[in-house]
Amino acid sequence: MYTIEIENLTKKYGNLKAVDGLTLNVEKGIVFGFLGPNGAGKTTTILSMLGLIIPDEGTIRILGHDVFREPIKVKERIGFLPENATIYEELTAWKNLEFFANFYNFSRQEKEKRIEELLKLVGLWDVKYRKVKTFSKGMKQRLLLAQALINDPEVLILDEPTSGLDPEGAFLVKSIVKEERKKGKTVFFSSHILSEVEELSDKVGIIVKGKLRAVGTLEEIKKQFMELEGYEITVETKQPLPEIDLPGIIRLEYVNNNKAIIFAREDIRGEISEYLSKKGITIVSLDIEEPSLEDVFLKTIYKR
Amino acid sequence: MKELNIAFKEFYVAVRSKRFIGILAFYLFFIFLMNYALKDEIIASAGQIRVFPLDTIFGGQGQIAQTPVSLSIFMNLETLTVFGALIGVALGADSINKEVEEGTIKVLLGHPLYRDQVINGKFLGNALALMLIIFIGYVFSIAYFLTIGVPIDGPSMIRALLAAVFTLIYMLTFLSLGTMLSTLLKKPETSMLIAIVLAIFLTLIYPMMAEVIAGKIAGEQPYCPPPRIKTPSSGEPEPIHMDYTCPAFEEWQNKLNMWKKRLKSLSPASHYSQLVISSFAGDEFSNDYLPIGESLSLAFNNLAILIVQLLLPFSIAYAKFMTSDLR
Repeated sequence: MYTIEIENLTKKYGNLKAVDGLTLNVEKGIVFGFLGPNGAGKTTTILSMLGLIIPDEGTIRILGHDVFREPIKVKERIGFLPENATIYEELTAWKNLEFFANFYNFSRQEKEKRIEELLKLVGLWDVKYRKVKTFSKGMKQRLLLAQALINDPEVLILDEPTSGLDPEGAFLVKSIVKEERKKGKTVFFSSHILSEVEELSDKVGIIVKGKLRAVGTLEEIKKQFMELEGYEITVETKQPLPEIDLPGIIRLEYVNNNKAIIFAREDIRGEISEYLSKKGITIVSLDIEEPSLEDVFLKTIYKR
Repeated sequence: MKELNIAFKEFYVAVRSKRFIGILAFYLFFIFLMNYALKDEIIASAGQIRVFPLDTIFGGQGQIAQTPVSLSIFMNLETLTVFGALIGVALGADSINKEVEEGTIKVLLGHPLYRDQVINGKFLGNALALMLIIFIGYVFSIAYFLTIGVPIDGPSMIRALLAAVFTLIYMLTFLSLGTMLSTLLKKPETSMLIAIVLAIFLTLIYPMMAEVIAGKIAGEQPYCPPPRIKTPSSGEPEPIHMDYTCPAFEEWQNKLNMWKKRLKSLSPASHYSQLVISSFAGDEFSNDYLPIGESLSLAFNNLAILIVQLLLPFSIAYAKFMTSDLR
């Protein structure tokens, strides 16, 4: 059983399909990065997972419960950090967390202990009795993260968690995500910051114009990409390179007499090595160019 | 009770807000001014009851028993009707859309809550704030009476308490109207503006419009030729100078009153003024209050309509909030 199961999720705004038949499964205990450009449907998907947006079609199950039929069973076990949200500005940091903690079955001591732990975790312990309206954006975002963790959730859903944060704040968020993964929690987060997704995610999903374009581990995605876009193999030899005529080669670009870039439909490094050896040519290097997530992302957005 | 958690938070935030403190200060200042202006009349009416007819611009009418308490309430009734409506809408008009605009609703509904618990909790919290305003106003008035040496009798206190309950229901009607606008309109500033204009229209402009419209519907006042009698001096019949009516005039007046009542009944202010009048209903024969059961029966329909006027906008707010996307 998957922790998050989204099936054929569709949401239209007029004629525009914000999410178009999205099907996605997320395993337990992983960090899943949901990547996409602005307006791709990331937030619509996330808000549907919380029941805040009512989709036109499709089902979403989290921890085995349908989010629309059993919202309380789901929300008792998840934590949510929305994008571009704020927290109650007229309340202090402590009062805010106390307010949210009151929705769960904590005893007074447990509640106070949990609030203290979280305020210390996000570095707001010293300003616990200050009204949130006096906080900086980064401090508010850290408090929002603390409220998402108030119930020690099994699944953490974060919508652009580092957006608007200073490097220190972003580091804190990332370390909390890593810590949650260590504890065996599932984290689903959306972002358009590639380095962040690359650093944190065990699996990645790329959504463009409401459709899921690619999903898998980073390696799987890159492999899928290379299978579609072709492999880029660089070969360097001691002797001048001859013409290479092998099946699977799309094109060949010579850099100089001893170096060439081969674009192939598949990984044919073995065949190249064998071919050149037969011709008595010594290979200095034979590398495959792995695309970066940025290459994959940009080409996914703009090419398809 | 998750609703109570939301309600207490709303109440806590509302009563500490500058808006609430400003409203309360203005309200108390106003009560003080009105009571101060009536000081001599209040002192003169202490210890006695006088029953007299009262007819308000909002449509409420009946015999009321005048005591210091009722005098103070009725002299303030028109302003209370407008002011109560404004406080009610002002508290409700941005209660939902402000949370949507600021994104706090997403944070809130990320926790184990149903949407109805959110709207109920918010309404309850604002209702508590309204109760506090009414309570402080009453305590303030009683304190003022005691300061100027006017004793307050038990029956008047009970009826004042009844009027306070009706005042709360009336203010809740406008709170509900404000909450409805807050769910229907995206911008808190727009809903606040429309809510205030609507409250002023329903309490100040509409009753006057109803008078004019009823007059137009009833048509021109019919002419009643005055009766003539023969005078001994001239031997010719001459008109008598006295109040007189004729069947045509009575028919016209009944029609006018019926239309006034019908038209004014669309505004909650009409039912509220009738309920307050009924709370202090007097019996001119015994020169005392009517028994409380009898007083209430006079305005039972008004109470029922006011409750419907409270529930209707809230139901619309409820339906809209339950089914809308919260982005």
